[in-house]
Amino acid sequence: MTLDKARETVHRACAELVKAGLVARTWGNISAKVDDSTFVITPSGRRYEELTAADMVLVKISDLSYGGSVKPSSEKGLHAEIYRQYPEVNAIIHTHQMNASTVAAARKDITGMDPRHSAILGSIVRTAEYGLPGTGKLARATAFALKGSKAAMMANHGAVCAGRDMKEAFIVAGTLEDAARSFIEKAFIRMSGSGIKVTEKAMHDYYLKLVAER
Amino acid sequence: MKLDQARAEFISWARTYHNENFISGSEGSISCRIGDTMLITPRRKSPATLTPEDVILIDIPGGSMSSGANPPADMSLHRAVYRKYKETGAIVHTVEPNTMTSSMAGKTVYPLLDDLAQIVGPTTRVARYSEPVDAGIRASVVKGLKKRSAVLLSGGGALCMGANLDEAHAVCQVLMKGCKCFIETEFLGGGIRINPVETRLMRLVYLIKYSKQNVKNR
Repeated sequence: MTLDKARETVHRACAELVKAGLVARTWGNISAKVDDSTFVITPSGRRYEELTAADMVLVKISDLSYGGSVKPSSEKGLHAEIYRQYPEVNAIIHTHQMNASTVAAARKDITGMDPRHSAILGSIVRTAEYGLPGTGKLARATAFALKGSKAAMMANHGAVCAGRDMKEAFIVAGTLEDAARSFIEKAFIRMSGSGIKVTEKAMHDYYLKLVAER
Repeated sequence: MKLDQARAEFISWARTYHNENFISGSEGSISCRIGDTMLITPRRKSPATLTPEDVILIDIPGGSMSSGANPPADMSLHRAVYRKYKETGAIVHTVEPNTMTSSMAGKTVYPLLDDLAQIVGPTTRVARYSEPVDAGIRASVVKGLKKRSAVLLSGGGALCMGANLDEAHAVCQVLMKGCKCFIETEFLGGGIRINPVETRLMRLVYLIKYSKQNVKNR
């Protein structure tokens, strides 16, 4: 992919990601691989709606160096580690999506998925070991958790979704959100007993009952 | 900023908060500070039909307000927070469902996600709340907001604050997600809390560095 094409791909993805409800504001980041040694990524802390394609930062996979005055996302190391370990990956989205983040906060792996989810995600989506944002520990743990899947969750943080191209990375992110929702709802049904229709209100009423009984 | 422009922006934000369920037509309120004046939504008036004349102006130091105004029940709470926290430019009393349920549970919300620690603080406390709002409630809310950007109001949602309505909106969004996570992880065996030392560190790094990146990183 040319540098211009990669920048344009990431720029377009920023708007799509907010529209899809997978991130709000600047909470998350997106990258596309240019060649075996570089990728472009969203800049650190900037609002997506104000960005242009030229704002996307070119980063070297080997040492995370970059040119220009605009700083790349602080999660550049996470993206580089995934590109290093998974040569078939050409696009990565790091989301703070609601349901996957909830599963990640309980530090659970998503298993027992419906075939429509497992066909895309694999039989398990793991939550990577906890690490502080932006650290090498978190990058290595997340890349490890991606083995055998296109997605991984990051403990107490969010999720990372990878694809052969940006389109696939988006499909993975959307499917992960559905799978995570379904995982939470099944757990709620198991805990609360059958017969309760899963609605936000039913979940909240049951939660308040649990709190009152403690 | 001129008052007319401030009112127009305020109404636009009121509609955004309403469309995203942070306030309803009958519950919740938003305000912002322009110098010594506070602009606040009127009692039980849907933001969808709000006009510039409906926006209530209140003198923060003295408490006088535009004639014929029908202020919300929590008006004195907004004023007390502006008087105590000089850097606060906007306040939202949100009644969003996840936040409301957490306020009804009456438990301190600990950060299970790092963005809650960064943007709201290392804990979200629960302050006393009922209407009419008295001096004791005002003191409890002001105390609950110390070194935080939001406080849960017992049984009544939460008060979120920021330098402006955009920042307060971010606080509402992150608190909603944090509360939702706090509730739903109960069904997954419970959420795993982030180490308290790290939550303080995250908050500090956010306030000193990351929150300024949108302007600085160009």
